[in-house]
Amino acid sequence: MYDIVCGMKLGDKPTFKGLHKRKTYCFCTKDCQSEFKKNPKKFIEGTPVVELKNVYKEFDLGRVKVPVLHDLSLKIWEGDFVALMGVSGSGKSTAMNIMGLLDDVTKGKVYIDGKETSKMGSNELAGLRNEKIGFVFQQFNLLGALNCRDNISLPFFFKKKSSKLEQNGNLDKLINNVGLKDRVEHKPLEMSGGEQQRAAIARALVDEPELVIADEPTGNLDSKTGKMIMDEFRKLNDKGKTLIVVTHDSNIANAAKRVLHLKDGRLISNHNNHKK
Amino acid sequence: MIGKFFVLSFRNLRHRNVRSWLTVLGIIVGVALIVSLVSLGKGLENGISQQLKMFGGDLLTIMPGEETDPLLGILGGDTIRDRDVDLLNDVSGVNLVVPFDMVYYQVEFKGEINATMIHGSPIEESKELYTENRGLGMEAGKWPERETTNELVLGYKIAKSQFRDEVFVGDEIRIKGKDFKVVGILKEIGSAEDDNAVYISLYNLRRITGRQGTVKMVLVRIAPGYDQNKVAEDIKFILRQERGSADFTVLTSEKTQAIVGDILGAIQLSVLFIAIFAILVGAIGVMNTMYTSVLERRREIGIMKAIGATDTDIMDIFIIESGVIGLIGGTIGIAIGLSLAKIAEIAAVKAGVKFLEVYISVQFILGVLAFAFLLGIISGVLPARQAARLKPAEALRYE
Repeated sequence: MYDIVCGMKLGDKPTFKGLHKRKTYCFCTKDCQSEFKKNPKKFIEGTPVVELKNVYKEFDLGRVKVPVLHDLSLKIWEGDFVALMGVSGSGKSTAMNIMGLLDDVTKGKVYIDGKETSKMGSNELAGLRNEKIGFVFQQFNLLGALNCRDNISLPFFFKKKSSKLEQNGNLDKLINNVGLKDRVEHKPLEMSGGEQQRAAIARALVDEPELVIADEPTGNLDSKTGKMIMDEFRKLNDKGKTLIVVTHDSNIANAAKRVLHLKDGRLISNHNNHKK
Repeated sequence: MIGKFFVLSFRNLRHRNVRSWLTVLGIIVGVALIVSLVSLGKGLENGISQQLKMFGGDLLTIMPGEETDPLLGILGGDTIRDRDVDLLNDVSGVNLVVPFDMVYYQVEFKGEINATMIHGSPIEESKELYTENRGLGMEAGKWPERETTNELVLGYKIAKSQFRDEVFVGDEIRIKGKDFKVVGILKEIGSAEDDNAVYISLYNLRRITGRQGTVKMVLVRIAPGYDQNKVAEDIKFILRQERGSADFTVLTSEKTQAIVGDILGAIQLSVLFIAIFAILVGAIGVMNTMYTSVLERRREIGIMKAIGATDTDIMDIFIIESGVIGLIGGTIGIAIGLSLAKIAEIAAVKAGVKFLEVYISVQFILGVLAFAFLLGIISGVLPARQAARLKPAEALRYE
């Protein structure tokens, strides 16, 4: 069923994740082979970037408790481009916040790269967000007091040690890539919506996170700019970035590889858009 | 990282320019008040100490009225009698006794009338006291030769600027219908009262006032080698016996300095309370601004937390912002406070008060600056805590 390639060991999970697309595995020892026979799914699937397991979330509004997510389980793999869809009130933003470690769960578990996050303190979660997750919001959410360049490099303000991008001095390259070379000194109020969203995308990528979560990234943009932004997302995914885009726009969903539908806080469908 | 937070804080404050400056204004007012009042107060204390030192540690002042309220005694019309003054010469350790009387009368020069203080004291004794103990010299002329001649000496200011025309040695001054010749003009002393006074013999003052047998004050000089406190006690004993009661005050230079120090201290304390109150109001202003800032910037806080700011990072940012407000307010407040104090000093000199000198100390300035910065930080702690505790998702939802 699978080709065997020599030279790799059981612990090389990241490499397994990369190879599983080609359904090629290497087992140097008999232990590896017997592990694979016992649980082939573990080797084939690898570790999800994000996993929700039986997540239940309710908002406590004092006299009233409002349930939003019911027994939600899903996995997002490396290299995925997932559109999370649903009507208003379906729980998609809440699910996004939970996956992005911006909110906690009432019940259930959340894993990032296989690490369970429920017992982590707020500072540890902040560190994970800084290291592994980039956010793009519908309202751009740039800081008004800072110019374009400072907004893009904002994640570095909170980094305990400098990132690869900072070390390599690639910030300018990233700014060029998003076409904002002439806007670096401008404040958000002096930029168009499209420019602000590109700055937000650059900010999300500046520290080379594994996962980018976008909440209605084209919601406040005209169709032309929106298409441009989605093209940027496709390029990112082509380079191997994992993307989760929350949207109610079917055009955006069509650009994604996988679509998850939420309704009344439950996952009602999970289908691939196309096979790669 | 803290350096980057300072940059972020400065940019946030500049972005909200008007509000930031209004908040800083509260701190400026409080700090300016403290700096100007303390600089002037300390300067005044130093100046008065110097003035008192001019009298020397070998002078005692005897005034009517109980020790708790000597001024009341003078104002109430109490006096020291000539009999009391005569007894003082016999006290061991006393080598000069100078009785003084004073009255506020109209003085006429070339048809122009001004009211001023007239000091009367025996010419020979007071000449010795003024020149040897107080080091007062003549701007022009000399002291009168005899007690009974119609001659007088003018203070510096009354000669130069009290009248339309300047008064010179040789001019005539009329007091209560009697003409006196100006034989001397004193050098500027630096005290408005002294520089605006007229100095005549006790004999002449008594002729003008009709008061005989009493004076308002006596200055006693102690001989070298005698303890001023011991001599003061001896004087008190003799006067109590003579007068039959302790309705007089004997002030040593130490006691005078202490009384002045107490009065100045009380005044300084009162105004310092006002200044501290002003700065506390400023600090409350900072706290109010920071609370409003946290409320308005909830979404911003959510963004920073989403990007990876920890609770401590958020707290640091807001505390640094409020500290910077305190620091800027403190710096400007110090500059304004010192300027105000200097203006007051210049105005005082123009008014004839030479001994008011602004006191500036580097430690005091640095201390005030540190205090203002710390006050800013403390004012920002509670709002910063509130900001730090916000959950990212909740903060991002804020409109």
